[in-house]
Amino acid sequence: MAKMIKLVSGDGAEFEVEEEVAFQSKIIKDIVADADDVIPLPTVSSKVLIQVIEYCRKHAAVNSFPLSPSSSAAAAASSSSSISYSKPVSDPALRAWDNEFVKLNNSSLFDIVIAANYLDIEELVDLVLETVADRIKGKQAQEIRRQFNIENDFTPEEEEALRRENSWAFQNN
Amino acid sequence: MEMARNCDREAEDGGGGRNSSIHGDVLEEVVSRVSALDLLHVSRVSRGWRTAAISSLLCRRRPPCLLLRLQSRRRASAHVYDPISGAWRDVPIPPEASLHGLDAPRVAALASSLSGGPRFYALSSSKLALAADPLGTAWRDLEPPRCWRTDPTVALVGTRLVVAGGGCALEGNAGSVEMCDAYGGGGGCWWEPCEAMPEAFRLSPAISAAASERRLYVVEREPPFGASWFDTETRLWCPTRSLSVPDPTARHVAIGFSNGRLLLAAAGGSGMGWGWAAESVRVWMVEEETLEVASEEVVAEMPREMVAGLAEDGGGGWGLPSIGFLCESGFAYFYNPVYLKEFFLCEQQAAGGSGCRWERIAPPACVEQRPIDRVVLGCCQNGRRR
Repeated sequence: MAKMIKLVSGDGAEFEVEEEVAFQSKIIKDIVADADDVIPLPTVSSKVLIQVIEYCRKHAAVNSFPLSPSSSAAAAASSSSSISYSKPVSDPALRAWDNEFVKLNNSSLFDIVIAANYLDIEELVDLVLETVADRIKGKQAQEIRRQFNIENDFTPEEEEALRRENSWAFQNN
Repeated sequence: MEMARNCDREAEDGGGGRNSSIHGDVLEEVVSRVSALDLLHVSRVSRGWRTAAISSLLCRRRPPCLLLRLQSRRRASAHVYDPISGAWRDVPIPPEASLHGLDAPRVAALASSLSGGPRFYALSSSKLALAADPLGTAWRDLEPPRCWRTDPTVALVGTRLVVAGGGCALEGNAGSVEMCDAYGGGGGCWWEPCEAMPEAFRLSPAISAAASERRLYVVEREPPFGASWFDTETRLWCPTRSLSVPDPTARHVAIGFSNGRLLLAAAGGSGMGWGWAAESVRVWMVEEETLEVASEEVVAEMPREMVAGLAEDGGGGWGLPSIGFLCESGFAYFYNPVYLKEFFLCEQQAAGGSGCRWERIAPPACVEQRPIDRVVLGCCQNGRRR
């Protein structure tokens, strides 16, 4: 019989999830150790919490039955690593699932990464950051602005100076 | 990774009017995962993005610059390509009288394990000079080695300068190897004779070399791809072995060190004899001790259309006569040493990324304007002095 944990979103909705799913979040794992099984998450909306739980559910299933010694070794190694790049998800099916999961607009991804960071779900944080970085790859400034809905706050004179500058001042040696 | 946990935005659903763009700590974390090759564009998006790009640049290891010298009897010019700004820069070099004229020593590239150290040397029968900086804007004179030779393999292995093989007038000196401490105190450079190069390399038309802190690695650029290493501590060569290049169609190889790994680049293709045409360029890792090629993992593979560009010879029909390969810190530059039209830069992505990223780089205009001058190339990560 799976132990259930209740998560309460910022707008008051309650979600019951299996313990192992909730424990994908290190924060929740620590809190439950000391106290209740009802965890309020005032800064996380229902919409985002549903998405995060979906991710945790998928990854809990995989983490409890690691495919190979190398994938669990990779998981163990990454938790003590201080390198900020994501470790490769070794299961191709899971990687494919992750790639589908992050097919969201940038503002949703931003919300998810904030929540995942708050809940300390390292793999999800890395996944979103890598996804966003990938959306920048190979793009010119104007395309990046369009992609992320960013206002160009340079003055025309500043922009012209930037265009002419082909190597940054502090690179001169 | 710690980001600020306070969230100053209300948790509300979707909707316009809210600033939904990536900013703050999240932006910094994203930018830190963006390739160095994209940072210039990132810096032009907005003020906030420019700040994030600049601070990311200060924290990360820089991609290596491509160093290009145009050498003629009368003058030399130097140019640097910086992948971050995506542009060439001319570097003024003082006219160094001793390097010009009819008896001019020949300036060539050396393999080096010293990051930020010299990439060029100049050698004649009476003179040896080592560049004082990566590009060679100044030179350090050293005693020339005892045996005179032309086009030897030269490498800086740690602080030891090794000169091996090359064309020797005296047969008895064929394959001779000498070594000295190039940075020893007292300004002297005492050349020690060492075990001569293995037979296989003495008649090799072309050798590719790479240096680690302790060893000089040499590989014949053409089949049978004989390979060996010279240990500067023991002053001995290991038994020569033929590299088993995983591509049976490989015609040309070259080696280099990047991020502490010995890499082998091989150009494969189809056709026989003069009809051979390059169709692929791939990179594998080589085990330093045994010289086993790790065939299971292709470290990098050049896109097809770029291989065509690399083999482009202006109709001369020689295609790709050898493969130019300069690598350092997870990046590599490829080029056709005989028909220099373009450079191809490869960035090996960090773990979790989706393979390598390739870019084409046009040479500086002067290369085409001075077709008779010799092009000498090196690559070097610009160490920043803090």
